[in-house]
Amino acid sequence: MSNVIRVGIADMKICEAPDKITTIGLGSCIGIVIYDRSKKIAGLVHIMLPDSSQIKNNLNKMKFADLGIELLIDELISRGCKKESLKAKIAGGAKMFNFTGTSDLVSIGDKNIAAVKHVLAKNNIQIVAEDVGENYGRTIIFDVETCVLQIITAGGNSKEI
Amino acid sequence: MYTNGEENISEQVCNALTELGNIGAGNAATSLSSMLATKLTMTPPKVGLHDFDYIENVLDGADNTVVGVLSEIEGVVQGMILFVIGIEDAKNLVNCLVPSGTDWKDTMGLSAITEIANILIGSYVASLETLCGLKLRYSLPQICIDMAGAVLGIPCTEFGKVSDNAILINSEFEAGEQKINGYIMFMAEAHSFDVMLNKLGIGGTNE
Repeated sequence: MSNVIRVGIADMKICEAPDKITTIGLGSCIGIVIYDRSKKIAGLVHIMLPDSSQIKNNLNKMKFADLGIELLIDELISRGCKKESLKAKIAGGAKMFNFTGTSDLVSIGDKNIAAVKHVLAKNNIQIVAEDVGENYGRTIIFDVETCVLQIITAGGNSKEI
Repeated sequence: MYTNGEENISEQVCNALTELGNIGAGNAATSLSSMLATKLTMTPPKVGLHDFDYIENVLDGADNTVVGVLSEIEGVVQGMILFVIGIEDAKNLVNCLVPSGTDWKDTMGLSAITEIANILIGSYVASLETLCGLKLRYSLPQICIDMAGAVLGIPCTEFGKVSDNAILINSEFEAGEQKINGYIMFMAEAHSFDVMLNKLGIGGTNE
């Protein structure tokens, strides 16, 4: 039997096959799955904000793209993964409400996407697949055995990347 | 600042914001009552400071579909107010306002919900203005029907900039036979909270 490990908002967990790992209701937040296919280990971090250096309260590293992804990489390496074999799949970063203007309310999703891509590139981790932006929420489930990321939306539509 | 990276919002600040929330939501309910021209009773709002995971799951789970209406507050205070209800409550709310048989998800239904939220948000903002002696503007509300996690994640993200938890006000209305359970979340940017608290005479936020 395989279990499904649930990752909350501003949270991170590690998962080994045959278990699956999920996070529910991503809006402007982003779920970043980093995995090692040969070792069948994956980790998922659910970030809310792009950049910890802009924020005074950065006690919870898993809130931020910059700190959260680094933390996840470190954790995977400590479990015996090689950094060179790590790959990523990402989803989220939506614009949930139809506002116009320049406030964070409008652009936080895009800022999160840019920050996540930047941090992954800096660490030489390839993004194998992504489902980001648009205007809808996403629930994601990653199967560590097959390395497939399933994305479910509020209407019940589902796709795999 | 009331967050120094080692602790979250202080008790005193929480109490002050709770009181703002109480009065704001109370006035909002009164407005709604006169709009619906029905006797409307409201339980005292429950105000609490919760972590993000609690908030995302407050409406039967983060993947449950909900209706959210959000308005942006601009001016001296910058922030947002979100009114959020479950699907069944949205249907009941529409039934209070528009002829029966109207599908809550058609244009008329959605516009009714947005309008109710507009009134709630307007009264809430007016209360904040009166209490703090500030002039506030708020944008035309926008509606979104999606997973609770995705909708509630928006104010949580704003809270996330100053804290690891957020203030949630739960107001339960009873309109005739209908029981409508709704949540209002008010969120202001860190500096804006300071402006408001200073106006209330709680100036000890720079300790």
